Amino acid sequence: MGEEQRFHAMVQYQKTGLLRYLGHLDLAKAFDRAVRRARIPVKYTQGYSPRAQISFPPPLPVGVEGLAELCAVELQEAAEARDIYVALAPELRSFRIAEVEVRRRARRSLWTELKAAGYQAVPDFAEDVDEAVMQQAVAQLLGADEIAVERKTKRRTRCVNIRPHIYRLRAAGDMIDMVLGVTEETLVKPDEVLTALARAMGAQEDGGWRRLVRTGLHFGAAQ
Amino acid sequence: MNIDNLLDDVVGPARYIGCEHNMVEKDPQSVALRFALCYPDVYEVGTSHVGSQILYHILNSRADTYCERVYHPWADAVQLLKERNIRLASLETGTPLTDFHVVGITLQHELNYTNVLSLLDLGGVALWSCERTADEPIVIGGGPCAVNPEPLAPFFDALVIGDGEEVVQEIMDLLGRHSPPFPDMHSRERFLRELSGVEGVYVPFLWPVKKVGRFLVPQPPSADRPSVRRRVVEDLDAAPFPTRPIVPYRESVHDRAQVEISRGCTRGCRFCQAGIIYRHTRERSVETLRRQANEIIDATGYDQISLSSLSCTDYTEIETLLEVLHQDLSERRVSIGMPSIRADAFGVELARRVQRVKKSGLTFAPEAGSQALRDRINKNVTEQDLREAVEAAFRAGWQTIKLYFMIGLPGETDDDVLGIGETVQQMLELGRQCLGKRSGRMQFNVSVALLVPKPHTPFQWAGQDSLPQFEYKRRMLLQQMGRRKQVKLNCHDAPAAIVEAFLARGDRRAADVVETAYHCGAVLDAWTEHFDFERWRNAAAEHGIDIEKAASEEIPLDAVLPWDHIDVGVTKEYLLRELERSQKGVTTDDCRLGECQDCGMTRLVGRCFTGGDADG
Repeated sequence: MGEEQRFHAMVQYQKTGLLRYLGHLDLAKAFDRAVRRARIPVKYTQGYSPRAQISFPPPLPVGVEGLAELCAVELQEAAEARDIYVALAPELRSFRIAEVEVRRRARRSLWTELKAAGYQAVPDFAEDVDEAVMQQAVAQLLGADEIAVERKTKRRTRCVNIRPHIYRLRAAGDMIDMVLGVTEETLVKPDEVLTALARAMGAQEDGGWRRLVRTGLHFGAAQ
Repeated sequence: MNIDNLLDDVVGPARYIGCEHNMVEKDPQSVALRFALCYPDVYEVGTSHVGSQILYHILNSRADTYCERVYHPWADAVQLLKERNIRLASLETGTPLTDFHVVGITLQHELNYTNVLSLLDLGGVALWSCERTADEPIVIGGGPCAVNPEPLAPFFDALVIGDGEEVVQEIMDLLGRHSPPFPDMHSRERFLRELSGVEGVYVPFLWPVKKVGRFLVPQPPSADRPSVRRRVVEDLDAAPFPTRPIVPYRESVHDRAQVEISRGCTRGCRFCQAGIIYRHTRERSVETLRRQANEIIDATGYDQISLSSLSCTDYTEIETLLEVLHQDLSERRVSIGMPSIRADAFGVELARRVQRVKKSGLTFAPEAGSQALRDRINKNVTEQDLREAVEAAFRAGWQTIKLYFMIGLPGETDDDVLGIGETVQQMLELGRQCLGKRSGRMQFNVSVALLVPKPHTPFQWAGQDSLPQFEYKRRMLLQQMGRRKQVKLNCHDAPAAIVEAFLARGDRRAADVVETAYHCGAVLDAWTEHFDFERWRNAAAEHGIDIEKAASEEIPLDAVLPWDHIDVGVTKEYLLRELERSQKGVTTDDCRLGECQDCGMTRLVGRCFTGGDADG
């Protein structure tokens, strides 16, 4: 049985400045409208309430910026990436589209190969601690076999070891640089890492951030 | 807004970020006049308002003006602005209200009145017109509530009565000639005096009030101008309409494109203020609407377009309009919505045709539970119409039907109230017959509103039901329908309706009550979680007013009314005639079909929709 061809326009955009306050549903709506304005030949779902087939990776929490975010627009037919860029970029001006790539692929979710995300954070505690102390805390975390964090769901609290899915952790100036797992099995939240750092430096409070930026989404092997 | 550092601490920060698609960007240095267009409720409500979009478009089409938007912040942001001493500012450039030449505030709803004060206060503008300094903005109001401007009159430098499209241009032209900011009070006052000469503009400080009977009644500044006449745009086709409206980020109350197909309504329901104050009925042509609809979808990307009108099904060429819009838009997966359809088979047939893309619930408004009472309020819908409509809706595949009723109507008896439940019961049985086995999914959402007697309507003299009366009737309805599985009964809140009635028919003393209520914390009153009846009761009592009595008291027919100086076009004689007919249970024909009822509008406009003839 031959697999159906599917075409997706992968749109890379920014969610920076005030747009970081846009919730995910509002963002999805803004893209849906932009696609209709741009008259992109988008594929629709069947049924009474047809929806444009636009999908996103795990959403950014409100307040977090994204420098190289992605969105996949499923197309009715093959199209030139350049044409889609030219039509869509002016409709999403505030989102500063960097590039569009058209992918042809088989019937599988587009996001299964998404493995990791890069972040840069300016932690709450950045001003209060010496850089050397921070470096030491980073080294301590990286040297550990296990970093246990508690995750609360409605029903229960679960203890998870996040260490295996911290693929990179660095301190530079007042900034923490991280690459963390994003799949269902490997998900690590930046806040969890910052809290672990705060604890390693002897703090009681959770580690928050003054600025958090998702710098990129990584497919395939984690970098 | 200049509250960047607040946004991490508020609910729904996307309300305050601006930068939406189609927001107008100008260099503030490049314009002579700066206009802050304010909506006295939160972003989600304000962004849905077509009138504001129209004014925004008109003002920004002027090279000399930059119009920016200001919405009322939600309660958490209000508190933070106060705590951190930050002034409320525009979304476009973060400019505080005090730096604008004009602050324009639309008045859509009485329960927004305290928000008007709150907006000014948060923006650092003096609340009372008489306390403003020369360099403060000129504060101008408008919108439907301005037809009785008195409860807010002292807070406004001017109020505009009627359609804003033309008069806003005249105001800005005049202001431009005075090149603000005003150097001294003398020049500010000279401007306001000239402004009062613009037709449709009411400048309250020129109208001192005098106690006449029970009311404080504004006295004309000169004998040759005994009233302020409402502005009416005669040709809707020629009137500007924004085809690049702002597309809000945060979901708004009406999150869709809107075209205004007509203004005004010819039906003459006696409780309805809109039916009077938007007379005469004017329609945009099919060609204009087709062009506008396509342009709006091109410019916004909305997946739904709503035909805005007081009565969509009455639009002369409604079938043609729906056909061409469907032709143009269905391919782009844009559905067409009609907010109001007539409760008859024709209405349902139209709804069936437009809802080919999406199927939401269907709404009918019989308004009263008995034919006798429907006749009294001149709601010309018969039980037969309603049966046909509901039957057609079920046969066409709808399962959810909304029914709007009102209680507290003049002349209403217990039987009339019980008639609401009986009508719903009949509809349920009809549904069971039509749907058979599928009738399990059938659902009636019954919404019961309380009559608020409004100025410039035949019921303007009526006393509103008292709180105990409302409670009694509500309990009757609950007993009748409260436990039915397939009926969801939603009865509006009586205390809020009482405050609305008090404010709608208030004189200038109501302004003191509004101010006191505001200072006691009344704000965002249209949101039930913020509304506090005690606060209003106490605020009124502080000024010697019993708010419940004021709302429920009948006004003598010969009383001079605080809004008599506002000439909306329809005369008091006509309203009295209609009241009399109501008391006799006599209906009045739709002016499209019957004879001219001589309502007074022909004094304002040359042509009117009468006798089934656009030129009648």
